[in-house]
Order: sequence, then C-alpha cells, then structure tokens
Amino acid sequence: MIRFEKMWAIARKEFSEFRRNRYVLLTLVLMPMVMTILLPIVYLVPITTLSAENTTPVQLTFNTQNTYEGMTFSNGYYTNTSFKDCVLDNVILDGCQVNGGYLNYSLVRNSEVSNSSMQSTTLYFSNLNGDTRIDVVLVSSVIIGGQSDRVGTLLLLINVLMLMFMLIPAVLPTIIASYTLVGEKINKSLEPLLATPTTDLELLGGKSLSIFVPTMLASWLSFIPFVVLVDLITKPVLGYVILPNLLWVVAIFVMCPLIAALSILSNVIVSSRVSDVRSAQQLGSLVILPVILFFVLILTQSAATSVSLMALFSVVLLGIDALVLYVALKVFRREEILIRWK
Amino acid sequence: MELTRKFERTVAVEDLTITINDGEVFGFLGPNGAGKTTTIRMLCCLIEPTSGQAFVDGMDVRDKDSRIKIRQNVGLLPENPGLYESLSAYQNLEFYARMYGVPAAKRSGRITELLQALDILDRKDDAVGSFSKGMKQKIAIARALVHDPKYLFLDEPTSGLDPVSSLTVRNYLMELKREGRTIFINTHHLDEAQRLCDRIGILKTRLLAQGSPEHLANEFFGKTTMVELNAVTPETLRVVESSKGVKAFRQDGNKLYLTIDDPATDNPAIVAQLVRSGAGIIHVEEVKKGLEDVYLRIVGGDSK
Repeated sequence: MIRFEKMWAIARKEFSEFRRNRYVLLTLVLMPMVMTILLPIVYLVPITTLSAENTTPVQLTFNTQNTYEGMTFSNGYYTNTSFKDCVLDNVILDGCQVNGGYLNYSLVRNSEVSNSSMQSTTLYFSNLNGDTRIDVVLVSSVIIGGQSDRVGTLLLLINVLMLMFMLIPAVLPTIIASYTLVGEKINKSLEPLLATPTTDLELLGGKSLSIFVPTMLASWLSFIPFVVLVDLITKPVLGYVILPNLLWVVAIFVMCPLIAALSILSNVIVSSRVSDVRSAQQLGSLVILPVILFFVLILTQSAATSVSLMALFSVVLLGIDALVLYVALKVFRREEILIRWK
Repeated sequence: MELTRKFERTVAVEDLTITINDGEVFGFLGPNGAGKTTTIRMLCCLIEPTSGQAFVDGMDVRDKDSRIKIRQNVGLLPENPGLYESLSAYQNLEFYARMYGVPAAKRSGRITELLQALDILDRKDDAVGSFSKGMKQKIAIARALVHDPKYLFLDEPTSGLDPVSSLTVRNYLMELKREGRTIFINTHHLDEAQRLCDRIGILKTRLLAQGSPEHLANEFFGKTTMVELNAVTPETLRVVESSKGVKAFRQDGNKLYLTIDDPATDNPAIVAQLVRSGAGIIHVEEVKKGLEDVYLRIVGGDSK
C-alpha cells in the first residue's frame, strides 16, 4: 500500500527547498514565459502583418473544345481543353480547365486549376482553387478557394508552437530533478532519508511528485496567457478564435503530463549515474531529446495533425512511460542508491 | 547470526555474530573498511545481508514486511550529517518527524525539546548551511532521535569535530545512555568507546573480539603488576620465577612486569618473598592495560 502522506511530506520538503533555490525558481518562471509569450510573438506576428492576398479572381472565358478524363499527357501544348483527373507532365496549357489529377513541370496561362496537385509549375493570369502546391510560381494569378497562404502558414506555426509548448514539461524536470536527486546525492542527505520507514516506491513517488507538480503548474498556468496571446494575434486573420480547441486540450492535458512523467523518470535513471548537477541537466536533456524529436518529425511531416493522431501519440507515450517506469523502479532501490549511485 | 555481506568480489562483513541487550551501549571498533558502516546499514535495513540472519527488536532484517517496522524503531546517525542546508534546523527536523509519522500535536514539542537539550534552540530558524560542523552534527543527532526510537545507531558520531563539539556530543550521548536507550556506536575514538560503551566489538571484516573494555584487557594481557627495585639480581629473578602466583614476567631495567591471576592474593605473597630474599622494593603498582593496547594488539601493531 502506498502512503500518500509520506509522498506528500517529501514533495513539501522539496517545495520548501525550491523556494530558496533561485535557479529553479527562475527556470520555472522564465522558460514558460519564453515558450508561451516570446515565441508566439516572434512566430505569429510577422505573418499577420503581411498584407492580405488579392482574392478577386482573374476574369477568364473558356471555349472548351476537348475534354479528357483520367489520361496521361506529356510534352504537349493544349488550348481550350478540359482535363479531369489527368496526369499532365511537362505541358503548356492555355485557356484550359484542370480539375483533379497532377500537374508537373508545366506552364499554365489563362486557365483554372482546381483540386489538383502541382509541382514545379508556373501559372500566369490563372485562378487556383483548393490545390496542393510544391514549388509553384504564381504570376498575376489568384488563389480563389481553399486556404490562403497566410492562413495556412499561421495554422502551421500554431502547430509548431504546440511542439514548443511541449518542451516545457520535457525540459523543466531535467532542471528540477538535477537538484532534487543529484543535489541530495552531493549533499549526502539520501542515507538518512532512506533510513526512514518508507517504501522505495513512496520515496520515488514523493520525489517524482515534487518535480511533477511545479512542472505541470508552470505548463498549465502558462497556457492561459498563451491562449489569450495567440487568439489576440491570429483572430484578425483567421476570423475566429482558434484556441483552446480539442487538439490543444488533448495536447495540454494528456500529452504534457505524459511527457513530464517520461522526463522525470528518465532523469531518475540519469541521476543514478552522474554526480554533478550540470551533467545531470545535460544528460537529462539528451535522454528526452530523441523522444521530442520523434514527435516533431511525425507532426511536421503529417499533413493533418488531428485529435486522433494526438490520441495515438498519447497511447504510444504511455507505453514508453511504463517502460521507463519499470527501469526507474529497478534503479531507485535503497541498496542501489546507497551502493551504486555514483 | 553469521551475518555476511559481500560486494561483488569484496567481503565487507563475514560471519558476524553478536547480541546487543536492551539498554546496552555497544561499540564497534575497527580500521577503515572493516565493515562497521556495512553492519549498521544491514541492521537499519538499508542493505540486505548476503547470508546469515539479524534481528532487531525480534524482527528479521531480511523479512520484507518487518523492514519498515524496524526502521520505525531505529534512529540512524550516518557518517555524514546529510542535512538540507537551505532549510532551517526546525524545518529539517519537522520533515523527518513527518517521515517517521510523529503525530502533528507532538511534533513541535519534541523538536523543541531536542533542540533545547542540544543547546541550539536559539538557532532553530537559521538555515543549516550557516551552521558549524559541530552544530550540524547536533542537528543530525536530534534528527535520529526525533521519533524517540528504541534503538540508536551512530556511525562515527564525533568524527571530524573539534574537541569542544566532541565533548558536547559525547556528554549528550552519556545522557542518552543514562536514559537507558540501546545504542550501537561505530567509532575510531578508543577513548570515546572506553567511556561510553558497556561492551565493545573489534571488527576487521570478522569479529575479532568482544566484551567489556576491562574484560578485553584481561583477556589479552592478563593482570599485570609492576615491581620497581633498586637492583635486579639473579636471586631476585630466581624468587620471581619460582613464585606460585606469577604466570610470566618481563624485565625492563630495574622494573619487573609480572603477569598474575589475582592481585589481591598474589601481590602480598610475591612482595613478602622478595623482601625475604633481600630485594630492595621501591614501588609496586597494578598496571592497567587500556583499550588502545587491546585494539593495537588485535587489529595489528605493537603493544607494551
């Protein structure tokens, strides 16, 4: 049976020590401030100050003479033609309508391209609607439907900010743990603590709680000004209040605690092998880095950051947490701490 | 019983069998690395024995369920005070009082009582980091006593302290002894052990000897009487050799060191024989061997 009062006594003692540790206090305040106030301003404000795109369509008249569907064309010049779900490669189009399909390495003039995937293509005096574009040059052309570049960039950057936000619960424990665990080791205060009538699990729980509580408080409290700031910056462009939304709620209330737990337990393992605070911080950050990198890569590569994807990540993270907890429990045993903790 | 602890290839403690009675002060003497700290750690359930058994308050230290109960009844002063330096003396003790489950209503009174007894009550709200080594040791002793344990384990309680601090700590330990608390002390200070301990164990991985300081001196040196003469003649030596009470003797100039069984009966008889033989006796005294002599004889080194 785990006695919560023992765990809480350890956590309370740690909080008293944090209050006297300027470095921990500054980290708890400054890091969330950078992530939730400075970064939104730096990332989002420049995008919102760009002038809005011209959304008046180019006046076009079509005199369609041929219609093709589901065919492949390359190295040709086509006028007054309608293509539906075709693959067009290295072609020149004039006065054409393209709907669906692919358009690669081509020149397009006085045409309308809808719902297509374009790559390395230049468009003159044309209208675009709901396309995916890679390396596309627009000259006197207008995006009349779908997402504008400015809105798309803002939404992408808000996703990036989500990742930055998740660094708070990942990094704060490395700083705090370096003091609560390695600090006790340096101070040689672990032995009398281990001599108290507590179980290993209660000691690990108490230590973890003392790191988890300030980490989550800093994360969640900083989410409030973050939401206000992001909404203030983006509402004029988006036309609606984007935060909080379900995706962010999952990220903040499910992913963040799981990341914090992972970081705390990783730092317990790191602390058993190092004997100074700086090494603990550096190694602790290194341990958490691959995990964060993994999520960054997945999220940035993923076209749609959805709630279901986040839920899936959460489940994966829960599994990793369980694994790291198992290792931490092996390391955090009285005998191990007294004999092997260097 | 036959307590053994190995660390990979090193044997720290081997086949240790001792019994410490309630209310007794037992001291462990031994060189560095003799296994004294390892023994305390095993008895406080911090590490497990490799083999053998140990019981504290009748409970087996190897039994998982008993370990927490044993730790509840035990107060430990480790080699390093290991206090939380940014916290005050009071906060340090309050934290441990909570950890040992001292009821909230009794906590403050108990802490105040201990700080007063150790003469540091006026500094209770100061950060421990600002304290001298001696004061820190006092706080660490108070910490070991905060839950009023039945058994007290002290690992080098006066190590590294200046003479005044050592004396204060030693006097306090004497008070605890008078209270009838069972105390187990690891020490390098032979004088401290001689003054504080009812019984002593000399450890060098294995228990080499145990008993009261007097018992150990008698066991290893017997009882010795020194007779100083104005001159030692062959006749004098013949008388000593033939004397019934003398088991062995050694000459050092005009002094004779006689190993005897019972000074009360043997000394008058030997003196009478010497006087009859015409020896000129200047001085007769019983030679007391101290713990230092015993320790050096057992652990290694010369002893007179």
